[in-house]
Amino acid sequence: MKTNYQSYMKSLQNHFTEEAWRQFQAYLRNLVDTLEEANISQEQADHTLEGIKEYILGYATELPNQQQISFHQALTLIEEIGSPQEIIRELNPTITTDNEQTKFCPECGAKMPLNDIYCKSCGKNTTIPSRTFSPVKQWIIDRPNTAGMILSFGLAMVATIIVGILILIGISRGAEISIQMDFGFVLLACLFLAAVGMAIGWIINSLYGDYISFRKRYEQVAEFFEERYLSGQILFVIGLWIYGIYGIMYRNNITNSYDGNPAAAFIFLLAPLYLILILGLNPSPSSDEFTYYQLLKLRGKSSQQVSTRLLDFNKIAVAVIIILAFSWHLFLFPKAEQTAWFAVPGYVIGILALAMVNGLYYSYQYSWRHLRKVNINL
Amino acid sequence: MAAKKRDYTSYIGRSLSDLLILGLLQEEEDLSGYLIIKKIRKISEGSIKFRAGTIYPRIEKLYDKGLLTKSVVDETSNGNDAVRQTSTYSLSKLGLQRLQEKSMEWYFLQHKIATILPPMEELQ
Repeated sequence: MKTNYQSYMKSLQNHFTEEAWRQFQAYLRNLVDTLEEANISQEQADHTLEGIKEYILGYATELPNQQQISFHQALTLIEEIGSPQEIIRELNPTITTDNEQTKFCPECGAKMPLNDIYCKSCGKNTTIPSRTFSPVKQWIIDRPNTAGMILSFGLAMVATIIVGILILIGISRGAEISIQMDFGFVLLACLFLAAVGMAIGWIINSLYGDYISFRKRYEQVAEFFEERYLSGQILFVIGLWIYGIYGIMYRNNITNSYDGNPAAAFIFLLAPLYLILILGLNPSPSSDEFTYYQLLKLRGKSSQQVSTRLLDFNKIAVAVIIILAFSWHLFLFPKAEQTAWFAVPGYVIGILALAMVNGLYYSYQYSWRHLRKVNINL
Repeated sequence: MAAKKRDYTSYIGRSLSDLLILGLLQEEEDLSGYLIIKKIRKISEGSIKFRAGTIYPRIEKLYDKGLLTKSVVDETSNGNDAVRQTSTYSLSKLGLQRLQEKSMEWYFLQHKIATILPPMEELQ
């Protein structure tokens, strides 16, 4: 379709309150997907979307004092505009669609019967605007070759995990690691960490949320990558990389002891310092285009503070675990000759830590909706 | 017995939708799609509720067929100086001709249907 969704969505967003926009955006997403599935001509789809825009703007024009469209008004508007199935039936009567009156969950965009209160997918009460749910991020409009990206990502992840497991098995059975191999070993181990963490996050997401249901939810997959990398995992890998380089230097007798060696002390401190700096200064754009900084955003000014704090929790946890891992390693292996196996405990801890943090973070982030559902039902 | 007040929109097919749009635009010129939907809803006392998602493609089709004319006008929001452009529609000559033809057909059909159905006074 020719419609530029980015400017289309932007032109509408300002007329809605945050909660209302989330609801309406979910509806629009579903409508566009349905139009695409039904092979509606570009011209017809454009007319439909332009018509909806006109209708919304006409509605907003009538609101007094530049009021924004509220959540309940958005629900009414969606009903007035019609479900995607009704629209498809009008545009192409040869297409048979189910007659059930549907609406769309404002949280996850799942289709649900009009009269249902709770979304079966995420548990949100769709009749009560809530300020406690994480925001739906900006819709990824252009949709690059996401399927190819997912495939290559998945293959790389599986391959890395296999290689990592083989290396760990080799080490546990007494394989020698030469000095020349260390660099590659550190690289592989770091990749292994990232891959395991991602795999665990992926599985947990699949179990607890619909964000990683790949079919027709590419924008959420993109969000998955974004969150994964921006929420500290890459920093975690970088920290371990520095840890590994420090270990190699130590092992090669660049430094004979940690105490009193400024270069080694500097490298040792570099990783957490780097983490703190990056975590503190890295700006994070939010869905309402309000950019905030990691350390400053602890006081959230909107409903996004909940998910924001989860991200903070994750990053702080990663930083603490890295520092603990360094301390633990230095405590156990203070001498240069004892560092031949320096990587193994560090990496084991790293893997477990990353898995735990990922698991905690994602299971918490995605299962809290389910917990909330339980609370509501109680 | 009076008919129940409910939404009869599903009874309205494409041709009747077109007829209603043309009929409304004969009464009032330069209406936006939004106002067409609102006015039909109001006049029918809520019995006919056109969906915005379906009615705009119909209006555009009528325009493509030359039954409507379109003009773009500036519109301001309540309490807001911001101006936005919106399309308004009026009946063309061809549209008026089609309205008359289709109205005749509709009344004819309505009369025929009435001869088949039981008389109103027999309904309880």
